[in-house]
Amino acid sequence: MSVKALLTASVIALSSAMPALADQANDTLVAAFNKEVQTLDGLYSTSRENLILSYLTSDQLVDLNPETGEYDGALAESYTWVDDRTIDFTLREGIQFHDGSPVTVEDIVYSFEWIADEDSDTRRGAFIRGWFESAVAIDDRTVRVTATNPYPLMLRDIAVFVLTRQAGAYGEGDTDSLTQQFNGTGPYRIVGFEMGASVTLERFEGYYDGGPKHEGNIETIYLRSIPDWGTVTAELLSGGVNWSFNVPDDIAQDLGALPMADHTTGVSTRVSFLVLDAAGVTDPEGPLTNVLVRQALNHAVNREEIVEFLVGGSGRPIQTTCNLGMFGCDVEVTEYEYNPERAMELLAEAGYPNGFEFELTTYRERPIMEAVAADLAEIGVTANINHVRLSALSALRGDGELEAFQNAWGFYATPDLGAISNYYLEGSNRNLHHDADVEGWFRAALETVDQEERAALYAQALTRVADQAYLLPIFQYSQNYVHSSDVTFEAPADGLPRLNEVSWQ
Amino acid sequence: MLKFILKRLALGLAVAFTVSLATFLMLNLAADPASMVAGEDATQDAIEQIRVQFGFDRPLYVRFFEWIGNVATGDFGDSYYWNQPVFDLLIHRAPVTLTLAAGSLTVTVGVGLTLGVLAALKPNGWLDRFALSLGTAAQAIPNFWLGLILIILLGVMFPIFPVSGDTSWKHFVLPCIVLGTSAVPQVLRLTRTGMIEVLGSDYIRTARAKGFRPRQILFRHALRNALLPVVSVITIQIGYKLGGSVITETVFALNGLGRLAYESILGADIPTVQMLVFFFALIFIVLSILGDILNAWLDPRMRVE
Repeated sequence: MSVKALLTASVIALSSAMPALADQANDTLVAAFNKEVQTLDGLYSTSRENLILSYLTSDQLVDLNPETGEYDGALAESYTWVDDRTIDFTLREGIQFHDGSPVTVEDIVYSFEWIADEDSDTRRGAFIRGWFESAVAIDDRTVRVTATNPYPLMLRDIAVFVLTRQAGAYGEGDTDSLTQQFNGTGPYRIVGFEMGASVTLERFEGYYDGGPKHEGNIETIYLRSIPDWGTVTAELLSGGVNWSFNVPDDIAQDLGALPMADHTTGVSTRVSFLVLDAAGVTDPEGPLTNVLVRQALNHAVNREEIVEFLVGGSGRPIQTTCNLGMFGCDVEVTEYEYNPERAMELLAEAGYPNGFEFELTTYRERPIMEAVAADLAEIGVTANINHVRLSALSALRGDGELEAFQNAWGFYATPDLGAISNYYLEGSNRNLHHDADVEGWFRAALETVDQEERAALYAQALTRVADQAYLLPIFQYSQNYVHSSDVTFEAPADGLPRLNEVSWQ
Repeated sequence: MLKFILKRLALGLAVAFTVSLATFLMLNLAADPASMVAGEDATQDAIEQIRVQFGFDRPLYVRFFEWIGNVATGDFGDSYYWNQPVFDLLIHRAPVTLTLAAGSLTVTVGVGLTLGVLAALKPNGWLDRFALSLGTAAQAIPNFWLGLILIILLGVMFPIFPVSGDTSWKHFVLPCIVLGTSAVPQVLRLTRTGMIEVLGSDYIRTARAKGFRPRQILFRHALRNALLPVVSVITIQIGYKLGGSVITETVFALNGLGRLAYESILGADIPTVQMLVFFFALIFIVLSILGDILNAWLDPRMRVE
């Protein structure tokens, strides 16, 4: 059934709408998630829903300011770089866990050590083990964190991956201790959890002042998992839900046109691009090993129309794997405007006047990938789409069987090109260009904290990548939010919605 | 009879084992569980570390027999996706699915049997045509569509029932109607056909000639014999409903086993999928044995066979 039909039928009946639980009178915001919250412990999940929840319930030493791209002290009042691999964090006074116990340096040290411990099986540990050496209490307010080597994303990793846990929270290594009973440090505390269905949060009155996070406008936030967008729509119309995110563009626009709902669009840090087998991993003589062919493919895709008609909202065409305002991206690279004629000339020059066939493995946004294939067909190139789950794509990628594949990278909302190094480093199976220079530049940029030097290295690398058309960048995602009209919500600059900042009108 | 039941149970366990092995192989060969555990934006290093950490780098047969060995000792393992013992997940989700199954079965049996019997009383009469038309419509309407229509009508336009969720009995009314309706046509048609056949048989004519009251003839003599094929269908339906309905549970945001299975498959959560497949297979096996026993009780001739 079409959403429009659903909306039309529902609007007729608005006058008899169901009395709402989610409203200003109860000071309860009901937020609908399309996916489930599996655990209260953000260390054991990588889902977007858990990131949103963890932002409300857990504070870290530092917090990314999406406006400035800087890391502000959170549990840490301040931090100091001792040298290029050591940072001293000074804790605030009077900070406490939701159970009222104070946050101490022992808790911080325990958190680092638990996450870095392989036996803890956290989903975050693998991100910090590459650089983490030690966390040591210097005095009762200072923790010294040391890296094995200079690592420019140290603060990012601490802000995103090192969620603070009370010392001994996991007992003798019981990894699911906090799955259902959670004691955090964030502006909201958990008062109810129905695994996979709902989480009830209450504003934490003991939250510290002066931190980077808003202390929370609304008393109670109720997170519900509603997997079907038709049902979310009905709940919004009947007053059962106030807010939702990741809403498909067509549904968001239809809902936004109604008097009782608003549609807000903002950027997502996620970018979508194709990785082309330039190195000939699958076939040393394959057409994609020819730079002219790769340039032709880049000219053949009409990014503007894809963004206008299929991505919508705040999406934008891209020529590099970069977000707006991201560190390392301030460089002008070769741009491939939509030009099928030029693409066909390049193909002819490369020895493929009649085009060729290749296999394109994808896992997201099939309609968009079909549009890309249709654009390529216009120049005689047949992209046979093999649309699979991400896990299947990863398995094929690990076996070196992908001629070309789609990827959508979210950067963990990090405004730094270093967060996508995966596609450019030697030994990574996501790197299908094997360009030693590019690999070297990206490696060097990850081993220095000198930002000027890093910027220069990234400029060289991005220029080469674009000139050689190793990738086929397509678009940056849009994030659609729909909320009831009695709610004030601003789309975040980094794509991570902060429900503590939502307020009633 | 005992020998028959034991034989069926042994066969059932072999089927459950085979299904479980097939699921394990398919999940592992078609997907990389390490990448799912690590998340979409995980680096190559992170994926490789998780592969070793969770033992995904070990040979398939080692992992499978380890799982079988653990199951034999009552340990179904921990879910990668939910970070919980798999058995706890099943116990946690089962009540919702059991409630949905019981409610929808009541709808199926109540509506299907009643309409089937009424339709058979006067074949080709207006009630018979109405019942058959209703059955055809119920068969043709997809679950998700009926679900959304009921939500619009009874959740939004005339807000009698909640739109979604599973926290009160009211939340189950619409999903039970949706799930129950889908099986009504089968029960209706089988009941109608069986009743028409039985009502035309000699022993019913004899019963009439002996002066039994119509109600006695209908319920004591006719319906009991007409029910034999219906029992088999209902048994299978119980299996389907206990297995959880992904679509109905999704549309009404019910936190049951169907959704658990769906989410676990998407998350490549092999231990949970393994456990659920094993559990569902056992349900079908037990139910089919129960169906046979019930049929034997209804029809003494089958006991002899």
